[in-house]
Amino acid sequence: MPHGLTLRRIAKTVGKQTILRDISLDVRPGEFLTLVGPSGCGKSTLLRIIAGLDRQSSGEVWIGGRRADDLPPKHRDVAMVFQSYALYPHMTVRANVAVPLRMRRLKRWQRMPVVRSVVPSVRREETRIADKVDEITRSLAIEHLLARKPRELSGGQRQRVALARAMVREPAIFLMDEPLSNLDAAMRIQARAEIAQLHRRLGVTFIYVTHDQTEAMTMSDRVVVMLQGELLQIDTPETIYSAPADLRVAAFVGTPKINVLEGQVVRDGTLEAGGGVFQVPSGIAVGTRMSVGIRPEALKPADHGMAARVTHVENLGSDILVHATLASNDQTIIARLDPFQTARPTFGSEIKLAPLMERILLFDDAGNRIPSTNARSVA
Amino acid sequence: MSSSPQALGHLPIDGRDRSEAATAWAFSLPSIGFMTVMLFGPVLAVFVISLTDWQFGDPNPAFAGLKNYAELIADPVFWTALFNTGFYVGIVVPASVFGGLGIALLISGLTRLGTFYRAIHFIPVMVTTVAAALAWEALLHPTIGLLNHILRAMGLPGHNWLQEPALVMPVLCVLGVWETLGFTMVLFLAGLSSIPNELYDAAAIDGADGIWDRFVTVTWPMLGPVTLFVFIVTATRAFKVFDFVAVLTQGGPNKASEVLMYTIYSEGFLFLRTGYASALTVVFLAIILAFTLVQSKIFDKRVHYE
Repeated sequence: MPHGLTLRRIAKTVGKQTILRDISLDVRPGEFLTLVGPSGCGKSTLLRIIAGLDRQSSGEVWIGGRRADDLPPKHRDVAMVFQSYALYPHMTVRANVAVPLRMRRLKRWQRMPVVRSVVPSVRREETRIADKVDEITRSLAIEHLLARKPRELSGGQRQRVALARAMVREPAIFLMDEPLSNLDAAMRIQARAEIAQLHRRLGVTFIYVTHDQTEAMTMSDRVVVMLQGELLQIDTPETIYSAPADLRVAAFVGTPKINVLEGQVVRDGTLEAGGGVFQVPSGIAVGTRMSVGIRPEALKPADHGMAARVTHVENLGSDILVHATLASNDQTIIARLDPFQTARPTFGSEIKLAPLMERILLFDDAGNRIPSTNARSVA
Repeated sequence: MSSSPQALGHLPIDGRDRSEAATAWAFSLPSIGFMTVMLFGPVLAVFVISLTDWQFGDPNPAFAGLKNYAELIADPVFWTALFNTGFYVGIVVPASVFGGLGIALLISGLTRLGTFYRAIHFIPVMVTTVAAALAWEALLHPTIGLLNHILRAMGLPGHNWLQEPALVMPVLCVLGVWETLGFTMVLFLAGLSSIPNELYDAAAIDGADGIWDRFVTVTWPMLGPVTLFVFIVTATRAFKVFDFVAVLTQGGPNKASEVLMYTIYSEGFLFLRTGYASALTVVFLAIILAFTLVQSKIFDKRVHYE
């Protein structure tokens, strides 16, 4: 049975430094939830608190409806895959994967070296454990590596062994701390798909930590965006992208980064920013400062638009990224153009870019998004 | 310009290989020369001298073949020294290796005062052995020594620690452990600090979170290479036990604390029988070499290197 997880007002301070402040969230049973944020945002600390490896300064952790704060990691029914994989380097793959089962099913004296060959009941249990290890490693296609030591494995193989060690005891919750960051780019894409498949196959709860927004967006049911120890938004990847709650979320998610133009309400319902005119909900006082967020793909060349000079053109094959400096305030903005529909702008040329009005995002001075009457979710 | 990359690269690489080898030799030459003069040369000289009847100062040493070795085998003092040295190594090496490991584990578990305890335990390593020996002599003195005072105050009999044949080797062993413990502790502390914390985290999640399980699953195997090194170094040091013996007992009473190094010293430098002392030295070197080889053979099978 997959477990859900609830965090209530988790905070963590070390000395005078605040690592996490007031984190509350509910993870549904069987959900794939990703904690994403730049390094140092506290996401790994939060994962360690869930695992029981670190203790929160205040707040509560509930796992499967049970208060878990005083449970040691081994009793929380969680398994963890570490960034470095943390395989025991002196043990073979088989022994590595067997550790969680041997620790649980055998008493200390039963794990002693000779006991296995002397006591029949222990031998039977060891056989059952070996069978389970065979089954798990076969399902991950690493059964041919069982006799090897971790140092004889490639990065991708080590990562699978770490997964196998986590899976072997059939935990209710999987915790993963940047498990792909030690892989090369090609392996990472493959492993991404494999982990998503694994989640579907096992049907248990995954909590996944990454600084890579692509991983977060492609694998998760829901994404938690964290920054400086704060939970900024928790929502589906689509909503995080198209309706970010906060300017910082909008800036963190999406490559290239969202274009942010600062401007002022010049009359009721109208905002001027970056040489462009934008519709805003009426009722906002004239003179109010606001920011307009425009995703690069929401900018199109047009006859009437913001005037800009092209400073750089990147051709990605499927897209063309145009870097241009706005005539009005010298700010650089990036537009993602379709090479099959528009002529490729040349370096130094003057272009006019117009945003797709239904895609623009409005933020108030504090960075909170203002639901615009025109803006609608693409999801 | 050639069109074939092989043709382009082949000849120069051959030439570079040769010049690289020459550079390598040039870099190694100083230490090869130094080791020849300071290490291999003297060992060879000792071996040659051990085949002569040379007494120090004798202008005409004669070739004596294996006579020195035959005499050595027939000499009960040699066997006493060999036995005592073995006894010393057998006690001091395990005691200081496992003692040092224990202290290192305790200190590494401290959140405060770790540096203080580390320094305290390391002091004996830094103290000049002869000075330490004098201090110990005072502590162990049969009439005015602090140890006997304490024992008598507790109603226990005192001993003449360095003059009773049954006691002198155990006492020297205690001093040897005292002198070595800090050294092994520092090496183990370094080894402990290089164990990645994620391994302990993984062990905690896997269920190996008790003191013993953590030690067996992570600490001990990860310390393998350090332990091998510590064993070999302390064993070599223990075989060479000399200072305490020379200062405190001179091998006495009645050869009860005679050890190999002291025998070599007295034969070579007190009795000036250089040929015989050289034969002793050759035997001594052979024992250390054999011991080290066996140790690393045994360990190598069981030690994991990253």
